[in-house]
Amino acid sequence: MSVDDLVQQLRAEAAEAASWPVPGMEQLRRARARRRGRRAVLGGLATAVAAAAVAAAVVVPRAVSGVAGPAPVGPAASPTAGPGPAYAGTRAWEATSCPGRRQRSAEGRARANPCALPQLLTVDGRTLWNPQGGSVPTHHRAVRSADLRLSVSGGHAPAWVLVGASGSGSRSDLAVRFGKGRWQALRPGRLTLLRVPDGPDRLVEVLVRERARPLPREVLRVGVYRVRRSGSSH
Amino acid sequence: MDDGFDDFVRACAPRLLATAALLTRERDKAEDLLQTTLLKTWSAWSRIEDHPEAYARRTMVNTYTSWWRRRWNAEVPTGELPDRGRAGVDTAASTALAIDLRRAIDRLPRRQRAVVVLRWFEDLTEAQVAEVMGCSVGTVKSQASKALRKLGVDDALAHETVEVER
Repeated sequence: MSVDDLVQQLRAEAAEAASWPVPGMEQLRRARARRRGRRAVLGGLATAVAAAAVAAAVVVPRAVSGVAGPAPVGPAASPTAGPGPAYAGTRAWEATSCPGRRQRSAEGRARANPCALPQLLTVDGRTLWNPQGGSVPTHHRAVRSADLRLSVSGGHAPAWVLVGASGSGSRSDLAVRFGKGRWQALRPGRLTLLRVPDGPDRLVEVLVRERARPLPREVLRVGVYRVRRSGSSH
Repeated sequence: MDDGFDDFVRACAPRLLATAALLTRERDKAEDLLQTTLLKTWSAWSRIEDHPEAYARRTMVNTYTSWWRRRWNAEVPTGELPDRGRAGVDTAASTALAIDLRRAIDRLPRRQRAVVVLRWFEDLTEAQVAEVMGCSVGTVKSQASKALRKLGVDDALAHETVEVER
């Protein structure tokens, strides 16, 4: 078989198309009108969706957290303000005291963030302190982990947990669960403060999970916080 | 109206339809591809200073190799062709050859098929094919060489074809 055979074959097939009708201007005008109509509808839909997203971004965080105020300094780069699911907890906390120098240097991100898990924080006019906490890198040598568990002891004093991840990417999909409760989505970008639900159990397990693919430098974090009483040592 | 766009359609649409038919291998898709190409060309008509047919051809190939695939990738071309055995012993060897070649063209990946159509039907040079497809001349050469090999064109002849352009 030669190139000439190929050329002949292509010409023969093209000749078959010679009898097919080509679109006239009237047909093109109608097609263009349909196309523009579709674009107008899609444009209107996009505008409506964008407006709804902006409204959700403004209303949902306030409704969920019930706390308003300036954005405090957090452990991750910058909070995302895009629309999404109803996120749990509040991010309107402010670090007032960071851990000691040794721990800070171990975090490796001290320059960008004052501290990964604050020793003291304030929220809603209350000061909370951190008696207990933990973190786990999602990648450590050959080990991959997307979960971090911490048991919080119950008792009479109410407890909060500061949960989230540092070094997570924009595709991060973090969630937290208390005991056998339902999963609650966490907004990525900075740690979220949640009240530990009261219950009959003496120990409540807090489970943080990165449901998306964790980044190599992502570190899951959980800190337990309680109301600071006068005379508490830390 | 539209500064001669309708004249352009009358003059060039039949040839563009033939190109669309060779690319898509099906009449409905060819007509759809041509209409899409003409609509895009019409939208850009005021910006096209010269060679509107070249612009339309480039639009057609790009539409075919990108958006076209996404739109139609769920469909499997049947390509039911007359069976060689049924054609009988009286069938000329050239008919069998044409059927083989048509089937082989049907099976080519879209970019290789586009190179074949532009190179040997539109009779463009490799540089012109590269310009239309937005790739390098080397890519055109390699795609053409692979396509010819798949089509069963003699390797030596294929190399010769490539060498001619150097």
